[in-house]
Amino acid sequence: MVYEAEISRTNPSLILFLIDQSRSMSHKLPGGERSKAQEASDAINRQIGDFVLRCTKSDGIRDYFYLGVIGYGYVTGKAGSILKGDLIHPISELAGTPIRTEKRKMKVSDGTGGTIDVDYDFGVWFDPVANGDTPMCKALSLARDAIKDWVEEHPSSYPPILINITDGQATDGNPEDVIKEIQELKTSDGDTLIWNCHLSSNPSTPVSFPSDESELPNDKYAISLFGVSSILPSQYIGYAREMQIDLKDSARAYVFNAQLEQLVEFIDIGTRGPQGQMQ
Amino acid sequence: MLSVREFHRPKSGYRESEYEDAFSIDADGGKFAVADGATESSFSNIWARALVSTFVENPPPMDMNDRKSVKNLLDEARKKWYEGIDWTSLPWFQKNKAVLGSYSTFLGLQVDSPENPRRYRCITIGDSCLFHLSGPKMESFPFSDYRDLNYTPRLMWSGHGYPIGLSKDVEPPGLEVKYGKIKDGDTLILATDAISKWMLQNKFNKPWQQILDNADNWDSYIGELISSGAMKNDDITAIFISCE
Repeated sequence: MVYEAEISRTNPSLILFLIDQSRSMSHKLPGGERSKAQEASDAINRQIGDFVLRCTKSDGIRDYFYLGVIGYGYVTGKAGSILKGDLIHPISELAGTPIRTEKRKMKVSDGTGGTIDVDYDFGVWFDPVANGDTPMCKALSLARDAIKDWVEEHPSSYPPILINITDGQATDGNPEDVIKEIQELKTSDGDTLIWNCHLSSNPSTPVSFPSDESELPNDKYAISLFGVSSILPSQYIGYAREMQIDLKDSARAYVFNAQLEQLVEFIDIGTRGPQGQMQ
Repeated sequence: MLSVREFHRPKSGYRESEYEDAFSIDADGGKFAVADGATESSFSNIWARALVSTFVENPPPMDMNDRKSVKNLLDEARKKWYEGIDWTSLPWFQKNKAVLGSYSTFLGLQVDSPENPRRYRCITIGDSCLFHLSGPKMESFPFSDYRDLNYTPRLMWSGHGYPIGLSKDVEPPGLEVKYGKIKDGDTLILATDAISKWMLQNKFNKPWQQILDNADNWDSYIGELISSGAMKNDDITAIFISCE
């Protein structure tokens, strides 16, 4: 498994986000000011905006990436795309279809070692929802079907990445089986990468990128999701270590009890690999 | 007399309009420049063109302090770049990126009066290279080992785009300078990074001669080198200057 395929308009890559929209996502996320639903939505919207930014060239947007966001639990028992239209969107289409933009401040280098604040437009593609139950298996099944089509059509692309953000246990079955099916979907450059981020419900210490079950609390659900999260390819181990995260070479793409800081780090590292392969 | 041949092509699979290198030539005036706009930034093609055209149209005196020469180039090129973009008509996502400014490498060569031997000055920021062929000898600058081109290069920054614009001064990054002399029969080559790396990797097989031998079918020759993996798929620019 190499994860070294160049990403170009003729050989694009697929990123899928899955977001839990169950009622408990209305609870405040430790480390942040707002609810889990708001912080998770903000983190994904920010990441979509970052992909748009990276694909923006002088002559417009180049479709290096196709993205999708699947929500589950927005209505009890329901899962589906929470972006307007299809499940999978070329990045150029997303650039033109945010539901709104918000004025925010970003820090940019002043060229002399300092920073200055600049206004920028923060794209919003979907709003937070915290409403129903946790039909995670249904959401994963949708993701599996989309990834299956993708790898058949793009057999030599950088492997798809699925990032699942949840704060609870699936209410429609055991997600392990469908995740194992997704892991078997591969391109010539590697297996689909499965990232699972379990958001915290309490302020106890998070466990980021564990490599062994013994690092986890005695929680059947945590052990289950840990076991079906991808072992990190070496490039991702390197990105995490650049961010001063202490992890072993056999670490998995899983965070238990993530607070805001771990959520943001997790998504950043999870999307860094393909961004580095843009031609 | 300086005789010049220029070769350039965009990445394989890309359009000419997507070429982000730039070059400028004034053979009679002995001024030449190449630049490699950074793909990661937007409007880097406009920035690369601003740098090379400013250098060739308004070259610094040969005896001007090197850093002062680059500072003057930076100030003038920034104005040209900023005026070359219609900032207010950009869509929101392009504005978000354009405010961060543009980046490019730069290599400028000035050849002095036509006395023999001629003196030259080469100023470079980044990983574009100068090759000096003289009889059986080849000197390259700033790198002599192809492995030195594996690292992120130094870049010239345009400063911020709208709405900050030109209101803040920008200092040039670290630069490297070579002074030399050429005589009749010598050749100087200015080249951006991918072709420089290939030439250094194959320097014992006279790769510059292979390019000249394939000058009539240059585009397909380079395309084959790229598809075989011998050369990185990148924008390619090379200027051959022969002293006759």
